Amino acid sequence: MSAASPDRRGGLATRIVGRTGDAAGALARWSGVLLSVAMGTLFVITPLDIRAQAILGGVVFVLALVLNRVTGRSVTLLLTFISIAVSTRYMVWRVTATVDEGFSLANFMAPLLLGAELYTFALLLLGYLQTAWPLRRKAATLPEDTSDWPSVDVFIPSYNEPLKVVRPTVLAAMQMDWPRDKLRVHILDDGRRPEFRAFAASAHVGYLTRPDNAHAKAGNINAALKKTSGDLVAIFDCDHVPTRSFLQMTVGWFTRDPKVALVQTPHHFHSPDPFERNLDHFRKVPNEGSLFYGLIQPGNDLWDAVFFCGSCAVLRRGPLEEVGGIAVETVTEDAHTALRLHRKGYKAAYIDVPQASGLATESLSAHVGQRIRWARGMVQIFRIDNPLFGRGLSLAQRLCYANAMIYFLHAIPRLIFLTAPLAFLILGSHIFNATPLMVLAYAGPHLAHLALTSGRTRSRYRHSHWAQVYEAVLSFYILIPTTLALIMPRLGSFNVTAKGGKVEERYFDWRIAVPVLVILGLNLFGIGLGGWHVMDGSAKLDAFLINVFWASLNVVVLSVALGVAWERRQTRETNRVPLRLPVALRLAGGATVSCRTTDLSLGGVSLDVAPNPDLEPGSLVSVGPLINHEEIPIPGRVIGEQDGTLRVRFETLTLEEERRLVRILYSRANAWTSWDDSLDRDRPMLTAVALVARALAILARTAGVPFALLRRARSTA
Amino acid sequence: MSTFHSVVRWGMAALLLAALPASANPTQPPAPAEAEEAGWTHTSLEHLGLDPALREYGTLPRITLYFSSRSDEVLTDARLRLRIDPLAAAAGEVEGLLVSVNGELLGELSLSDLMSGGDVLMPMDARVLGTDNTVTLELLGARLAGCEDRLERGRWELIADGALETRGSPLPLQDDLALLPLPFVDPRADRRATIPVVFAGPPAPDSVAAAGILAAYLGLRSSAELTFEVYEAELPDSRAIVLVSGDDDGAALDLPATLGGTARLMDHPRLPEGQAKLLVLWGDTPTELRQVATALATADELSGPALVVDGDPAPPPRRPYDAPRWLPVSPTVRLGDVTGGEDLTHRGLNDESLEVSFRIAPDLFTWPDEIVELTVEATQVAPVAELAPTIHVELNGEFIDTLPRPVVREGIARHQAVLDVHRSLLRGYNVLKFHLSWPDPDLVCDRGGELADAVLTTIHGSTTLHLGDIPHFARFPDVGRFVDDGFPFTRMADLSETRVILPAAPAPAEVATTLSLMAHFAGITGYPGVGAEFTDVNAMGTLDRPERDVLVIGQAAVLDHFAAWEGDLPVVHAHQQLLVRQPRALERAQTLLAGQTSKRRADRVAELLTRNPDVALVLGLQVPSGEGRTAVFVTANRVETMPAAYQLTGFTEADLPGGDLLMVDGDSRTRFRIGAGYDVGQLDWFTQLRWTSSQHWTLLVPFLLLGSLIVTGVSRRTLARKADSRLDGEPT
Repeated sequence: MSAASPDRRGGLATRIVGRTGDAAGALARWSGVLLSVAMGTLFVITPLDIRAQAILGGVVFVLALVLNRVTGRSVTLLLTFISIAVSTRYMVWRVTATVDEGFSLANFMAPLLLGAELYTFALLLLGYLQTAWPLRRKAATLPEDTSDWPSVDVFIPSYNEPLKVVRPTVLAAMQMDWPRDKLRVHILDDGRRPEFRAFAASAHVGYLTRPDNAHAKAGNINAALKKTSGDLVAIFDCDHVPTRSFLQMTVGWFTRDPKVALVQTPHHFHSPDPFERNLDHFRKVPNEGSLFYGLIQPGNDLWDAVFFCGSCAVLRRGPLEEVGGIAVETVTEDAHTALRLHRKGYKAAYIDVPQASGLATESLSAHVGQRIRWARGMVQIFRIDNPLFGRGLSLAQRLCYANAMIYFLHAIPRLIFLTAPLAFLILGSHIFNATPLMVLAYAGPHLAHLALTSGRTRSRYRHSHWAQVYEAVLSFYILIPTTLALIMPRLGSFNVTAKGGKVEERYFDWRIAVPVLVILGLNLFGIGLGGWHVMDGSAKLDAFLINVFWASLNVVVLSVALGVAWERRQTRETNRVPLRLPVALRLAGGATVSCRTTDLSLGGVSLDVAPNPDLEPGSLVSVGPLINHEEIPIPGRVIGEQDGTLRVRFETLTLEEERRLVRILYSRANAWTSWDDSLDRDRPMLTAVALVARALAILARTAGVPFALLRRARSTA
Repeated sequence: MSTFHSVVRWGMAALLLAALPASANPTQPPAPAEAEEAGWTHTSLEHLGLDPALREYGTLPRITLYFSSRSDEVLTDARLRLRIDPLAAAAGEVEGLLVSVNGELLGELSLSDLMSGGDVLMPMDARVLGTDNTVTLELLGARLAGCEDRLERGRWELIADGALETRGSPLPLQDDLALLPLPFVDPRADRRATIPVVFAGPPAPDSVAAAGILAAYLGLRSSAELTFEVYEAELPDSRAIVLVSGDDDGAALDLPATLGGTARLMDHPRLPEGQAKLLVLWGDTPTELRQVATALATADELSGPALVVDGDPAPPPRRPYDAPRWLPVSPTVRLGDVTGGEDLTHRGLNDESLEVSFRIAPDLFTWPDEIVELTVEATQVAPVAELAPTIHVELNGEFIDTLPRPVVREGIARHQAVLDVHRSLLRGYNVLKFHLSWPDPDLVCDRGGELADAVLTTIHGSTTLHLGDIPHFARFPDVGRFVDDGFPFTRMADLSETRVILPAAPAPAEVATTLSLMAHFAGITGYPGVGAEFTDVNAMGTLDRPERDVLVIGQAAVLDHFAAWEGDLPVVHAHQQLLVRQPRALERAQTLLAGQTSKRRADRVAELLTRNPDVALVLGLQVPSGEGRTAVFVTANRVETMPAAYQLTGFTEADLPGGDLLMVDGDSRTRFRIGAGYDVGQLDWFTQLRWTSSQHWTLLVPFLLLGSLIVTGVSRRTLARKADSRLDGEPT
């Protein structure tokens, strides 16, 4: 028998007390949760008459409005739980009190609408889970001794993109701050083009190719994996130009935790996508991808469910090879690869700082094509490697992945929402087995809390009402691919998203617009026909008003969606980036003028300069931006001057000059960090009014198209 | 009609407006004193079929009303009293009103007669009157353009009110019990009847029970509004029901000595040879008297002058909710189930209301604002599509919907519409109406003459109300359910779970109220309440854990015997006054949790009681320790204002369904809830949870906030820890 020392006894006692305290704390927490669930359940399941429901809904919403004035994560969580309770209350009422017992053909829309609402409700819950605590991860410290830093292979896969698109990416990748002996840049040319080989040779980067194009980009990367040996692999789409700090920002997490297999950064675009360009809100309204990269990926990071997005990411070679390289079974190989890494127990991280920038898709049709690929690919994964099942994932990971995948099934629900009021307005059927006022009393708070809580967490990344526009545009096109992928997941092939092109002239993309026009027309027709029925007394006014309101919202959303089909001109081959840099402008005569750039591109520069007789159009100059007091001269020729802005086109540049320009333009560590500062603040009511005004303008413009065509036909005749 | 004529007419109308005498107020019915002067029976035009909808929407120029003479009398006098609304007469292009009786012109009111307004009395020649008679009213002028057979809508509003007044001489009747309910009420002719009931001695509880059973028997054989005049040891000079038990002195009434358990129809001793009949019940004891009444009321067939009862004829006990007049509890109510498989049809092009009424158990559970479906199947045979009528659907006075326009193929328009009906609209007694109207009168005029008979509208028996699977569960006390459906007493059709408590020596008016209620209950269930137990306040004993619901009938002083219940009664009797009981703090809290304020209502009741202390009251409460048993009091401050059952029913002002207090002041009824309610019935545990929660819904806000706060606190801690572990100590 041995006596424990007093220290050990004390330690044991502390541990016992500690464990007892922990157990008591856990018990208290679980009791609290159970009590909350009980109280929440009562709130959710209690049916009320319209008066009580209206009072309840109103009081809770006013409370939420008051709470919303307080900042902080706790209040956000509180509002989230209130919103969940209110929405669940609506859904419980919807399912238990408004559903007809029998199915009738005349009322076919009723179960469809209910299904769409249940789908949206599931997305809402998953979305709240996913973004419960967005992680704002910063760079992890790297080992002090650079010899301990891992070696990195940079892969820049390309298939048919022009060399001018790829060159800046390669030049910027070469200039990343990383020990030279540990950084190898490779162009993975699936197009097997001589000019790429020549450029690689001149730039002293690797040029890897293969005899076939099996499995497209995934196959290309996998082939390169076999020919390289770096500890890490950084992957950039050929138009994603990295900043110099990219590796220093990302690699620290690999050295810190050996289980980290992926670090992803945002996809940033310095050119407008078709929504931004055609609706003229570039850098005023967050773009379609902002929500994903600004909120959802940081949210995923908490649950260790960050997805690989195919570019602007670093992967650890070992785990990647362990899962068989980049997945090739689906057309979204990136997300599928991340899923496999997670199944193997590896971790992924996300750094919410743009460390590369690329070109957005130019035309709506190209944009839609890209989204179709994403949608189809995610649904394919859902079918063949469903995250809800199989081993290796935590519950939260399963739900985050599932949410990302079922989100792309939104086409059918969105189309149902866009046509549901027509069931009453055109066919006269009642899709809710409840009075319009009851629907308002229950659905109103549900939607209001959703808008309030979502707005609180999302307004920086997506302005109010825009999700409906994005989904309205895409739903028509992803409907069939996602449905087919759901039925036949192995169908389909990879398509490359075209970038770096230009839109020569403004035109109306009929091919894209036709389905939008059809549904828009049906909604307008429904409003008219419903009005007729009210006039002749065969339709109830309250039901008519609520359905007309709904159809009018659809008209607004569809009209704005139609506006995206009005392609605007984009004639510059290189995108100008607004940039204020000090410049030493050296004139041909030897004089030097100090000035500042207003914007800069690989093709030229605009300078804020006082009028000077030596700056005649055609005169040669040397533009020398000052970076850290170092002048980086680039030769150019004056094009003209207007309103104090001098436009200079760069002459044919040497590789070194081009490298310098890329360094100035794209490689600065803070190149993109303030990009979103110009965004307007989200004001839901103003946004709604602006959307209505925009919708009216687009409707008027579109209505003129047939007349214009007629005039053109006449003049041709 | 010339423009000049119209101008003159409107000018006269304007003058009338300026000079309208107070006596010509068209909203007031004719003075009852006039109508009910010696021997005259007064039947309102509304009772004869001139309902408000017809006055408002009727487009036919002729309205025919029907009346019959009683089988036991010959009409000697009849007169029609019309109250004309001069403004309505002036508003349309009416030229006159013809009144005919059985096809003979009774009189003509010219335009100037009509514009004079007021009451018009039109005596009828008794020689033209028979057993079944018609009164035809025909408006002259005011035809639709080009339409000889149609009026513009609203023209009949010129008849603001009216009544048929009749007087007859009796026909000798045989002493045959098979004649019952004659001579007391004639189901074919009577809309209202007053029945004298004589107790040979002081009415013992069982004697009142016997009278109540007979009243129930009459109530279920007739739809007339029955009132009772109660006499003690005194025979009125008219037909009467007489109850004589062993201790009573039948001889004092000139009746034969007790015959044991017997019922006999016989001549009034002072009005022989069939001038007036008495139905006399003898019993050696009040209990035997009751047995005689039971035997008479439950007999399959009666014949001969007398019914002799030997032993207790107690019929087999009833089961809950098996009242013959209630539809069996079922998830669906088919119109054909109510009409005996018949469709509702209407031939012609005149506006018409097709209606069907039915009773269901009054305590079927409903959620607030819950919707049930009414599937309407209708066809219209119309040779011209446009002649298909518009069909408006109404349930219990509430407009439900208009059927969508049908597609007409080969002359047949088919409707199959699913209409949403608030389930809370459903009562024990329900009236479903289909109003047919033709929205295009010009078309009807153009084509109606030739095609009217070819247009046939049918509401099919397959029309179905989908109630779903509803349990019996309701919040009590509910004086509304009591007056309309006799509930909860009528749950057992024979009232076998009812205990009626009367004052120790009930006044005639108190007994009359009791009898009218028994008749009312029988009219509701279709079965006489032979199982009710009658007692008086002195013999009622303890009411703890009663096996029966309690119905207390008596002047306000009867409340003094229920001092132990004062804390639960909504109105108490103190200082010879009826005073509203102020809700207790707990009750206030309970009603507040349900989102209501009982204090405000109590103040309103106090105000009404101060303004008119002579109102009749119906009070409801849970029998203390009664485990869901209900007690209902029917009372009044003065015995003279004890109400008849029919006075309790009709439009009632209320801000809530249910309630524990009904105040009846003439034709004005107001319902309140002062105390907290209680629930009776069985729900599954989940529905019960939801129901209980819905009755305390104001708690949901703090529940939500508190629950969200707790779960927020726990989540925040968990998420922050998770974030720390993900960042491995790196700052965010």
